[in-house]
Amino acid sequence: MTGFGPGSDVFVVGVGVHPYEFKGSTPYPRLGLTATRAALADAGIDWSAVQSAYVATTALGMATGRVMFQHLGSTGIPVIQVESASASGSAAFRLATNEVASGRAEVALALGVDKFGGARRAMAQDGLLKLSPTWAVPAVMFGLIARAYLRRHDLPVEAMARVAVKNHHNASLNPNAQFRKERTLEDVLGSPKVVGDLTVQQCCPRGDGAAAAVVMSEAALTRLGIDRSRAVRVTASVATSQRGLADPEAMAVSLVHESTMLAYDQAGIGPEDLDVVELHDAFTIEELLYAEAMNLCGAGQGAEYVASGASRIGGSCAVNPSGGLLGMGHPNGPTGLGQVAEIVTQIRGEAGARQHPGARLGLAHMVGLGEVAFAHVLSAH
Amino acid sequence: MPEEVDGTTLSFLQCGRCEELSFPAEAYGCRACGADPREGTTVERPAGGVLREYATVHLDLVAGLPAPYVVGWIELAPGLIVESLLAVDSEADLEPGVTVRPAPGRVDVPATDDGVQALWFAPAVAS
Repeated sequence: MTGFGPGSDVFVVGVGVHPYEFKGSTPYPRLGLTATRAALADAGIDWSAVQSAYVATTALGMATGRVMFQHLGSTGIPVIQVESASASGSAAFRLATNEVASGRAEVALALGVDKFGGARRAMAQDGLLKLSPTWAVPAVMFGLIARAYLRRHDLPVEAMARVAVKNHHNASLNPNAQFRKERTLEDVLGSPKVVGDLTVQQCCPRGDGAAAAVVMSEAALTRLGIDRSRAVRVTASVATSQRGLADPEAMAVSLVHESTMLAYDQAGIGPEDLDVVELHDAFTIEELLYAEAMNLCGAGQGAEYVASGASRIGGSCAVNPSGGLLGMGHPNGPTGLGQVAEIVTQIRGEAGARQHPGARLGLAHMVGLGEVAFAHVLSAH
Repeated sequence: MPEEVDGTTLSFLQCGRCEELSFPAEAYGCRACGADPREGTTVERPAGGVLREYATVHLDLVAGLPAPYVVGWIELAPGLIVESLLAVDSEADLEPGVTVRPAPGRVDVPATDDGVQALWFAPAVAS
């Protein structure tokens, strides 16, 4: 195994997305195969070149992958289904990149595909007493975290609502986004309240979608004649889970901090080197907390970081240029791979109206229920 | 303000190795050190704790529990924080750091098959 780091020989050579959409009638194979075929075409390879596939889904049920991939041809490759809640796509990407890094495969596919409505939480079957029927509602936990954060820093709700304005703007420029509409601060604050200071437009939508990435070794780049100018190197792949005991906010922050610092170390970079970051902004407050946890700004400076424009496209580091979960959407299985697709597109300079100038280095970071975290660093040559 | 209920207790697991409390008592291991629960003991403590944060739920997010209502984090024991319902007319009746005790709920939330047995809390009534 060659491992990751600045000289990693693991590359993303193709990405594809089926636009995220509200729950509808599109069959999941159409979602998944659209993203897969797009990724293969982007890479310039045929399905027959893929040696291994990981399929991330939270709601579709057993045997999602093979039932879908048979329509591409039955080539006998291993097809493995992956579930890590919101971070399922990130888990599939980690497994694909690690398989290539290990030398067990030269070409692997990671695909996330989901349709809203079928997911169940194992914790509902843990047999343990819970005192509140809200235990499974993320908006409640983050509404409480938001209240605590704003109270501690003596900030108005506008401080976090600006995240939604920025990310909805980015999403309006993204043809794969579920929301394609600009939102003003007044729109965001005037939308119906959900929990505490969180309004509807400060919470991500749920829906259907798919995203895929083709991962390849350096040897395969040569063997298959891949255009190296569009290959993006994967220099870090990290997975962690929650550690220690603390209040919910502190545990969420420490999870993101630890996983990100490990990724920085593995890639040999610091936060100041990053051009683009895709992070888990299911709720606006998360972008403030996680920007701090990633050392993109100082502790307690998350609101100022957003307000200053540093995290907008064209700022010092574009955070969630895709629109993030708030704007692009959060169909669960695909979400982490949608982040990878965005960062690859940015690094290639192919993001069109939402292109961050000079993007060379990006971080894709996801958290998932449990709590688990995945961090990947992607780099131009 | 709802009337305080006397005598309500909650069952905790006290670790036989590190003595930390876990909730509920049926926990499959100590939340602090992971010790086998068979090494610990079940202890009953008066239900209640310190309110750490709270917020109003404005939309109907849970079946059978119409909004608005108030939820909060209650520290049942040092470092042991749970999410619970607060039986107050408005969050203006609350502030972080107050002691809360079980109170009669404004609505009846039936026990569910996912393990929920709702317990409403309210600020402790000064005696």
